[in-house]
Amino acid sequence: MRRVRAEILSTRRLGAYHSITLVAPEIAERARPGQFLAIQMPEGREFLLRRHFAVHQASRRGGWAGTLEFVVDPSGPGTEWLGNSRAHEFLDVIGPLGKGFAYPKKLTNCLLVAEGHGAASLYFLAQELIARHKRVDMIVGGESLERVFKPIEGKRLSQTIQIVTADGSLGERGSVMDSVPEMVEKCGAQVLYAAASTTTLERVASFCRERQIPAQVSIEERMGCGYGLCFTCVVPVARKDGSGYDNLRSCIDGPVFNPARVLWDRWLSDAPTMLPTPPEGLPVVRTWPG
Amino acid sequence: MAGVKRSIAVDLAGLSLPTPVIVAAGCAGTGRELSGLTDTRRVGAVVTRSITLRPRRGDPTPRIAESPAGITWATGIQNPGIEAFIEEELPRYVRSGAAVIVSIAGGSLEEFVRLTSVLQGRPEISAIEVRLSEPDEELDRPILGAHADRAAEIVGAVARMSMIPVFAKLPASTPDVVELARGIVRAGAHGLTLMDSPPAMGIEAATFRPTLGPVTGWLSGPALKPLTTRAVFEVSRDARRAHPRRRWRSQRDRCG
Repeated sequence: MRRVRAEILSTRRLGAYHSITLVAPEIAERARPGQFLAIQMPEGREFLLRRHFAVHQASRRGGWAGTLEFVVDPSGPGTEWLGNSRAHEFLDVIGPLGKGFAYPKKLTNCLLVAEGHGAASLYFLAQELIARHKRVDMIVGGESLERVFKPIEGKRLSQTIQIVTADGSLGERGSVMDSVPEMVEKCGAQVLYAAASTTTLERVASFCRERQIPAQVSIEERMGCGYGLCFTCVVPVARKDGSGYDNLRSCIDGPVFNPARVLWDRWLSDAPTMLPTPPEGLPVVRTWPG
Repeated sequence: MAGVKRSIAVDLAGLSLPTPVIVAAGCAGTGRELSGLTDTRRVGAVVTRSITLRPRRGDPTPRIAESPAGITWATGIQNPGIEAFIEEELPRYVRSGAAVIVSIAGGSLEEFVRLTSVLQGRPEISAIEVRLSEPDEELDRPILGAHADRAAEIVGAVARMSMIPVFAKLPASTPDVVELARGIVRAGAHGLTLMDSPPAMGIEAATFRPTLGPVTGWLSGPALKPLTTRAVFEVSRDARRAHPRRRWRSQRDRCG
């Protein structure tokens, strides 16, 4: 883990997302797929917490050596500020944080399931898997055309790819989970990786448990610091010896978990319900990470 | 004075600290998270996260939310319990180089007494901080230390057992902080920590839902500075009035 002041090399707009490339050799050298960065917001009373983003690309060799790319999904004032940043500005970055994806030793056929900005870390994973001579197939999805992250890059990286949107504006209509059973059959997938919304990940977990497919999922829980101090991003995970569960910090022990050990019911059923339900027709605004 | 290196060392209830900066409870994690970011040997002391007698899993998520000028949070003092703490975490804090102040929390007098007895006779611990903002299980009150008599009872019991300084961390939601401080000092506390986070809550406008899993939590951040400044001022003014002849150390005394 390093804290650096990193210069923005370039920013790009990719559909609904912004991609930001930084010059941060200390972090780029160590970053692995699945790990994330904590970016400081501008000085101001409304931005007290850093925002956290998965590493999309860390270049160690070649002309782009020492650069680091991450993807911003603007959903609030903080992420919008970051999306509007320009080249040659400086960001205060802590990283790489968390435990990344593990690569299979013997199994070769990998299916990567990405939804929305989750694709950012999975494309990085795909590159590393290909470098280890694994077969990579993908399902990439989003709510609409502009929320499917870099479909062409996905096509380039995978043997076969299934693109899914909720409104049918690109590829099949539906959710990424609808395509999973079919793709598992077609590609003979032996390992499954997923980065998606929590509800999709829960369905992936129950599917993998049924079919006995080893899997790793990258989860998102509200996070304060990103390096283990605040104990707010916890996920209930069963102990290996079966003697109960622990609330593990997803910044230190995750964000990549074995879905078979995550207690999804306990984690997701804890949503508080002590206030009246909102009136019909109220727009749903995402307020985190903001 | 020219040529004389001024020291910022302080004597805090018998603890001599190289600097007056103390890392507050919880802000040093489990003793190893800060290592890549800062050198904890440069601070005066480190307060551990609050430890209870038994392991606690803590509150449901979400546990943190930003609010204007502050952060609302609720961890439900997730911690491994005092035994695992002494085995695993305490050595890490000690290795970090700073003086270690152990923060203890509980819901009954017995819990505090047993925690203190476990911490006794450990030379690596410099002081004990008593967190008084937990619910009172014995008297069924929402905040244990909000009542002066109860706070004095708890802190007094810990201070009588302890051979090292005991600091009481005052809850923010007390009607009269001076009264509370007086009672706690009279009961035997060596020092006060001012002050704990005030209780807080947030509602997400879009979903009509509380921003925190356990619905209510605590407020931290820049919003607390004026609250704490006032509490420190009131309590220290009262102490000077109560003990006018004691030589209160000031910056001028040491440098002049």
